[in-house]
Amino acid sequence: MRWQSFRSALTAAIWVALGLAPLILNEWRLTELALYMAYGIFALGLAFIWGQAGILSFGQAIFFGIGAYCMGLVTLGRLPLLGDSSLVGLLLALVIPAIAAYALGRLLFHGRGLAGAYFAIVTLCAAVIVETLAQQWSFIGGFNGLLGIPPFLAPWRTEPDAYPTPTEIYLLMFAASLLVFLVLSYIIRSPVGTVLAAIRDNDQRTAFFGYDIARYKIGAFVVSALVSGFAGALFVKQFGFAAPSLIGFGLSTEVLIWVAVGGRNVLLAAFLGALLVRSVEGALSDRLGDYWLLALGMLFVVTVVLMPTGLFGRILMLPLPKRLRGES
Amino acid sequence: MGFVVTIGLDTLNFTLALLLVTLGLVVIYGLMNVINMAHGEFFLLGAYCVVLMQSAGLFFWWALLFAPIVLALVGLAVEELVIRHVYRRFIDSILGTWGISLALKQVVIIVFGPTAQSIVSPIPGPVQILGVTYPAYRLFIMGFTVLLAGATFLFFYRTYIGLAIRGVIANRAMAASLGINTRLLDRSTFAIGAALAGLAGAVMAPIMSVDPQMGVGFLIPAFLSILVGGTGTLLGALVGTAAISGITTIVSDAWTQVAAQVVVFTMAIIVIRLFPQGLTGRRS
Amino acid sequence: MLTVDGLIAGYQHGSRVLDGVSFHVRRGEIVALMGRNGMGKTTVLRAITGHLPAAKGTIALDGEEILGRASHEIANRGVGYVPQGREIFDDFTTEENLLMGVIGKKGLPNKVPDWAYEIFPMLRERRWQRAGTLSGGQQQQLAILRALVGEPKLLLLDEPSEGVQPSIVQEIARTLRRTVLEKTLTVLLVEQNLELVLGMASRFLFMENGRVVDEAPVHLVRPGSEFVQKYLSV
Repeated sequence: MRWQSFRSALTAAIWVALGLAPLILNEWRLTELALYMAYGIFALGLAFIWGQAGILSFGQAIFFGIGAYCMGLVTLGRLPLLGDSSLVGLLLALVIPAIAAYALGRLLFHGRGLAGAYFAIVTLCAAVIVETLAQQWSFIGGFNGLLGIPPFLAPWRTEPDAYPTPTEIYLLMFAASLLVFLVLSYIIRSPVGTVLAAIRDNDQRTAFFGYDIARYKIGAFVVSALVSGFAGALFVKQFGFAAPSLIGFGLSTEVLIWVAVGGRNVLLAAFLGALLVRSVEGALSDRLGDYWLLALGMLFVVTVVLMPTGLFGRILMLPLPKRLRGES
Repeated sequence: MGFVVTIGLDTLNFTLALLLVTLGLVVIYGLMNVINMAHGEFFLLGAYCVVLMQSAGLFFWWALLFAPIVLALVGLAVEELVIRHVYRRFIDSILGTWGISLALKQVVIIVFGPTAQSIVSPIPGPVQILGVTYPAYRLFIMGFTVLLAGATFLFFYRTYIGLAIRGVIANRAMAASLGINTRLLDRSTFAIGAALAGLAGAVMAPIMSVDPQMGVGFLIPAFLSILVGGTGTLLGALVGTAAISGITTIVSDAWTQVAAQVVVFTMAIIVIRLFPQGLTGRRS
Repeated sequence: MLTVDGLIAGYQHGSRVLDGVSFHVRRGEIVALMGRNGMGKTTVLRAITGHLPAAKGTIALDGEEILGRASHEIANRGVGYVPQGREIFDDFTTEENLLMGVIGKKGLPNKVPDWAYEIFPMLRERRWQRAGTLSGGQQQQLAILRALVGEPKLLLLDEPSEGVQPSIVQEIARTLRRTVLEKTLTVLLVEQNLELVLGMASRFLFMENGRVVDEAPVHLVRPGSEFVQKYLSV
């Protein structure tokens, strides 16, 4: 019992610490961290379907990339019918990935559908193909992608065309991360989340209980796509450009590594995994380059083989909701 | 007419090379229930063995001896260090082998650099066959891979070891109770599968652009072949490979490579939806 | 030849299937392990053949500890296993099934010995037939023969009469008894069919709730006897 409350307290403490980061970090670090938080949100989406629902997807970046491209296209004015506000961009960045996920899910999860491995392979193939298509499609910029995507504006400022400070951008990303975390946590702890966990552990048995597992899987997949698209949109507002590398199998693999290293079963662990790996990469990759990727690959293997719960999974696992704890 | 013959020969070429990769995957999956995501990298390493031979100034043909030996050793190492620990955890075996594939690819990038290499064709010049002019080396590839594929089938269906392997695939526990050392078989079969893929890579190297990304380019068609053909049997691998490589080559020659990828993928999805157990209809 | 002592196996604390099984089988004996369904008989055989790595206790074959060893090693020490449900290789021919019985055995040539088809002649005509198409009785003969060609010293049989029509059961029992005597095999037999067992075994062990609770020589065990009433009837 004490261990469990320790973990909940630790989770809360980490969020508080993240929120207070502007007090300690300089502007450069804050900007970096804010960008990584977009990746963190992306990781949350994967942790949700993988850790909770047991759906292994090798193509999550498809949704991240679609979100990025949507935000880019709208704010660059490439879709005149929709105007050029970031809000519309955000909306599109949520809707299109959701539709894509729904379509893919309907196709692949239908009825008894594809078993886990087949789904993983198909998403892998999809990621490769989508990336290739993105490279060929001139409307979205082909190989070069979309450049010069307008950054965040600060509508709360009185001066026109004012840009937010790094601290403000950081807090915005922090708020977005926390929001996604809370929403996903809520779902996980709700009866829906319990069904997803049951599907993860034994989908045949869950089906025998009368649950329409295809519908739940599709639902989870769509939620993860929403989160990924959201992350992509936020990312691109900071990064300034959207390229095929954001939509393809390289990034899809990277997010798998972040979540595996951080901890696939625990949302915050996955989030931190993304932040950690990206931060270390930012620090080391200039000096180590390809050796870094090699080390990362090996770290991934070691984690999968020896530490399936990831680096942070154990210490951050929250207690079960009261509902499931039996007699209190 | 000449166009058809050329496409036919190209298809046969690709089919046979892909078949060598697919066979290894199917056997490893059937035997150990492991989806070896690193298999494409075994192919890759085979091709880079040729690069190594070339830069060392040695004959290409040494690579055909060197590559399978190197890959068998790599296969043994991978099996011992990683597969052995994860083969009961299905999803983790996918991830573990995926990590290996990343690591192997990085090693290649570090040692050889990220850009494409080209290999001098060991049998230069064209040859007249069936009314068309066709590169002589490609004919060699076909002959060689037919022999190799044939040898593989003979190995599995006409030798005692092959019988033992098929027995373990069918019923591991019973085979063990009959005295068959299943761990030893796992290790040897994995090594053989790796060696086959490496040999395929080596023999295909002269006609491909050898770069670190080529592994995935063979892994994906191999997976699709298995899913389409049926995961249970070597026959399924054959059928699936023929289908995938046939469509890929035809669409590629008639249109573009990108179009071929999309078409093949779409058709594979449709087939899998209609025949969840693949065209040959049996699941392992 | 076989000594089992304090064998404990089960899934988790509190629901053990085997709760301290102890018995022995002497060389040349044919011993029957009896008991109602769910008492743990099959589990005992699985433990002996190395399929229960988590089991604790002692299982000694000719003085050597085999608990904890890999199944193939145990098989190569002379333990032949005919499991419940036969577990033949459906897609293999009869001949290939028999080959599976020898190729794993060190010291035996990789061929089906000539005497094999003498034991169950009915299989000879079905030599090249796919084993999955054989009848229940023929599959049982095949499974037994497959174990025999491996030249075991201890033969374990789990419910050999299951799924086999009664007339064939009698035939199999006769052949088995003759073969066992000819080859001086030691046999541990799990079986529900009392008639078959009465024709073969010299000693009976009775299991209840994960333990061997009683034993009796064959002449004391008759249908309607106290042993049958107590341990076998439902």
